[in-house]
Amino acid sequence: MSVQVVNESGLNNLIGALYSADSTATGTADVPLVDSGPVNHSTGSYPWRLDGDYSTLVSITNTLAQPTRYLATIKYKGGTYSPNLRELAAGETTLFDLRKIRDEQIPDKDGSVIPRSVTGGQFSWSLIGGDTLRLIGRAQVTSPSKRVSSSFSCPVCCPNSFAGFEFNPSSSAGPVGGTAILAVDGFYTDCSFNVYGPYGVSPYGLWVEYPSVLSLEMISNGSAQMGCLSLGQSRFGGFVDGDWYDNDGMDCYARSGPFWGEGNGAVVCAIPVNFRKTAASNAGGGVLHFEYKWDSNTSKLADLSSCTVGEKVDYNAADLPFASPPFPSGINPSNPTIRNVSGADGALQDNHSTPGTFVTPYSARSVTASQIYRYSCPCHNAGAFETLLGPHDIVRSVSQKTNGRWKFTITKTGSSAKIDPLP
Amino acid sequence: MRQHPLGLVGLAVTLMLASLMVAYGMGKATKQVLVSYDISSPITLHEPVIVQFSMNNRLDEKIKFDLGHNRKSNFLIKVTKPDGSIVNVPPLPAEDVGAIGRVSLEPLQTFSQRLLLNEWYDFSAPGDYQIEIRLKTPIRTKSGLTVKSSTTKQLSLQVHLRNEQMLKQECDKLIKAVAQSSSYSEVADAATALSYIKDPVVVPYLKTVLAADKRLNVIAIDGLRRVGTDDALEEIISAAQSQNHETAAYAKGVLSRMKGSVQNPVLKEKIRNLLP
Repeated sequence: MSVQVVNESGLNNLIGALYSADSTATGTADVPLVDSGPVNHSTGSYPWRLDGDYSTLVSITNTLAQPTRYLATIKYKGGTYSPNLRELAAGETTLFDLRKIRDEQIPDKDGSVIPRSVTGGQFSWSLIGGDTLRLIGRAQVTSPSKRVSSSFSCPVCCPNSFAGFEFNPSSSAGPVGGTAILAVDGFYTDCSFNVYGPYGVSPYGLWVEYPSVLSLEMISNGSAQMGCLSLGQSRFGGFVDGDWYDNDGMDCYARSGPFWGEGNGAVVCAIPVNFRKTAASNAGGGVLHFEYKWDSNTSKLADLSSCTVGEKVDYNAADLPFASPPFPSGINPSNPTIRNVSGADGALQDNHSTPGTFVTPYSARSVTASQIYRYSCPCHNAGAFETLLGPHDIVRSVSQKTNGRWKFTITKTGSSAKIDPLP
Repeated sequence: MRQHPLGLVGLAVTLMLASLMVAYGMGKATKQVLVSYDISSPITLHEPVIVQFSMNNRLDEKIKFDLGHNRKSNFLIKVTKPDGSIVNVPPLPAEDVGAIGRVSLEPLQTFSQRLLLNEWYDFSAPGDYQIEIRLKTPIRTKSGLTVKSSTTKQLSLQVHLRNEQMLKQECDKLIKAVAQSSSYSEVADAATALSYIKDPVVVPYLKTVLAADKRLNVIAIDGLRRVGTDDALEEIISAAQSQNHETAAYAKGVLSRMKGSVQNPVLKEKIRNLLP
């Protein structure tokens, strides 16, 4: 709540006083009336305390007809509590109840809270904008048990100045087709050069040096989305209009103008790396089972969603179909055998079997296939297949044992599975 | 008849217990693993038969299950044909390279994937089909307990008479997905669905797939082989002469296996000239 006294007498001087009386207690409190005054009065720096039954209420009021923003900061030993920048409508008053903020653990713009053990500190606030705007503020510190009521309305030298903005991270990389969310952080300084922020800002005049490489758009106040269009690097940036203040020790002089901020983006080609065998086992029945894994060079497997990882197995045409006997009849694999999975899977399995029943009369026969594991990413080398592992042989053989019986063996990269003896 | 006071107490206790049991039961009912299979029906003859499989973990702990090779080979399917005969469809082979089928699901997470039933069974005649689909492996909790959730579902599928217009619309939709998606999984799913449209209408679409991405050459050529018409064979013969060595080699391999069944003498001659 605020009380506004309007002088319509036409006289220049007006003297008045206001007292606040608490009907449940036995005290009254002096409520000094203040003029909005010069622009440096649109600031404040007050002590606050919550020890015992002390409470501190800080009010900030917009005295003019146009909406006006302010920045408030609550400092205490060991930390800072930073409410978001807020706009006050014409004539609106906002109230900070320090006890409520602390006891209800109300988070600030960064999710921080004032620890319950904290009992005091400094509250500062400032108009954000040019010197045609005016706010007034006051802190009321009271203790019913001590019958104390103190009122503070100390200004600082000048309102806070806009210090600039930056894209965060200022340099980022993403895969073709990917997107990255960038914070767009604005900062303010007071006349003691303390820095406040970051606070979200919305730049205008967004530009991208190479629009074929990157796109940039604001998706909300303080958030921009970078789109990765094609391989390359590009600078990007935009402008934010800000106000700043010079002072000569007596008066504040407002300046305003555009601030420039820029960043750099790189669009990279995500490819599979670190392809490795993670399991090799005899699955029984003459089946060899392998598992492999890989990573992305961007550390995010999802970046590989447009890539494939798979195998290519080549047979000697003369070996197809497999000779039967001794191999099961009808084995005539595709030549080459080509299988792919999504690069984003990050893992695959590979089973080598020889389905069917081996056919008598057995004889010593062998079929050797050559396998490679490979990948293809549209952004890499025009989507050409690149070998990850191999070539290595997959050897299937029927051979006679020393006891005259026959066995089937399949081997690959040092692992094997058998049907021993063949029935 | 006079009611014994203890009888009332007993009745009250019974009602309370019943309420508790209902509440417990309801609580249990919400804490389970929900498995669903949703089929697109009716369809026109030769249209892809798509089932959306999903599993929602409503337990308080992580669950694990294994969908098998390529996340498909552990699904078992039984088809009751329009004439009432039953086909126990063999599982898909777990051969060669495929995606790993083991899936872990955190509490409240849902896993879902599309199953193209034509990979299991050729719905080659119009009529009403009943399909029983189940996952042959159990769902287990992280601690190793088996989850008692049914992974079996009966589905009804109506296959209407062939409608070329609808088939073309389906092909248009799938080719658009092939062209526009940047995700290989989505592209391959769409191309595979196209390749199982065993109808001459799909031939020009598979030709487009073949030209669009060399990574889809196997899918497209296999689709043309399944269609098997002279037009489809012409496209395979054309692929066998492709500048892309791999596409050409694969197409020749397919022609080599098909050559015995080709009737058209002109195509037979072309194939003979192509193969060593």
